[in-house]
Amino acid sequence: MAEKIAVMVFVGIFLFALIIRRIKRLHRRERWILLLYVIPIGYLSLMYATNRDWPNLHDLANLSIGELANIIVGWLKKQP
Amino acid sequence: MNNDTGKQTISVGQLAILFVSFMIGSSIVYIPNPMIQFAGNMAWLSLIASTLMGIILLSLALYLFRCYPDVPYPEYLNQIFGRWISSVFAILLMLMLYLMLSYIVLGIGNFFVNTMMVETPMYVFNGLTIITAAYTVHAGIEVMGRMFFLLVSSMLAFVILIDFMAAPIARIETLLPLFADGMKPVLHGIYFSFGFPFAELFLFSAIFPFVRKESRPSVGKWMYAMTAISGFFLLTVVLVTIMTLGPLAGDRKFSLYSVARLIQIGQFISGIEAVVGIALIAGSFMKATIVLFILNQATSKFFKLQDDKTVLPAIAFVAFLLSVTMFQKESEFSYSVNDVWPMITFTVGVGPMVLAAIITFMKRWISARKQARKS
Repeated sequence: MAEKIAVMVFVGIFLFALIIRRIKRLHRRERWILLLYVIPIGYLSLMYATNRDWPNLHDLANLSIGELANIIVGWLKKQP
Repeated sequence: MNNDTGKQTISVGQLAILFVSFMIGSSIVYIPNPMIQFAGNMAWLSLIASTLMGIILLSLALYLFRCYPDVPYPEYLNQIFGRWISSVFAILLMLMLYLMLSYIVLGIGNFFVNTMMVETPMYVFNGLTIITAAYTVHAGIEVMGRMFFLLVSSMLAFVILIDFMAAPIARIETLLPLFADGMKPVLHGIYFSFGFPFAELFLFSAIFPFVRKESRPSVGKWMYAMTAISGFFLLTVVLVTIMTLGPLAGDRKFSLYSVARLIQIGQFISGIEAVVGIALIAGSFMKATIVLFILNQATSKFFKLQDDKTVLPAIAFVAFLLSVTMFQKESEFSYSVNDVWPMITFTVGVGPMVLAAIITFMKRWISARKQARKS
């Protein structure tokens, strides 16, 4: 777990260093939009650190569009 | 170079470089194996059909670019469908781009962990790729256009080199029999290869407005040529893979890398796969960078942000976390990329674009008729 947290901190520091100087100059609306990202980041970080298999973005795709894809691929794979 | 509004601009040549790196980028590594698995010896025919379909889709994207030259995709959907429907399309597009970016990053990690650096944890590759891509996007599209010229050149040079070096061990008879299992395998190959990478070219509608005004008349010519070149390179790789690996071609992951391992000329040229592998993975990095750029642009325009770099680190971080959390098994990843991904590009990308082109054409046709009647 400690290793995973260290990885996230390391990647996060490198990425957010790109805008660290701009954050003070951001308008309130822009700060709120940036804060909005705390939700997916928090969820995915928790999922990664605790090694849980919680619902993810690809599950959303597989459960919606994936059903249609299964029908088409199933038909294409079916031998005559 | 910046235009009047302070936005970075690129030349049509730089657009072509970005387009080739986007089209060939990751697909040259990941396409041959599943293509041959699905379509067998007829994978080449599927690829030709997909290239032609890609050219048709490109003509729609170029038509919309001519109608809305200064507005990037998906922003011009606002003028076609109205605010609410276009917002739904924009949100779906952003979700698709998050998936795409994390799949590419995951693909890079997968490649290294399976081939060259098997003991290194995958997060190392995922993290380094996303950090480098974010810094490249931060530098701007013009820097990307200049930088990718060298990377694309080296990648294509290595692909040509492998094609030539593999010639002595290639056997043309492995391309036979033709249509052994009927048309369905060919259709399966088209379904896969059109979804990845040809249908993805609609994303370039977000980059067209960055081309300098004086270069715009030649955008169509260059884009058609680059689509054909991308199709040609993918075709040669598929053919070389079938002809060198024979019946094993569909079972070998990262086929071009496997072909490079087989190459041995005399006693002095062997083990070139490491260099080839790095050149090939540079393609995936370029594609990841372009996707991150488009996702960042789409998000900034959606939220109407003044500074388009504000959300870049957050987007990159989410994509990194997605890439390390999405799949527990490699088979899940294969299923998502091979079966579901093409359908995502059809519904979220191709569908709205075709609809937008039809509606725009109808609107223009009706207004032209009205004007003709008045006069």
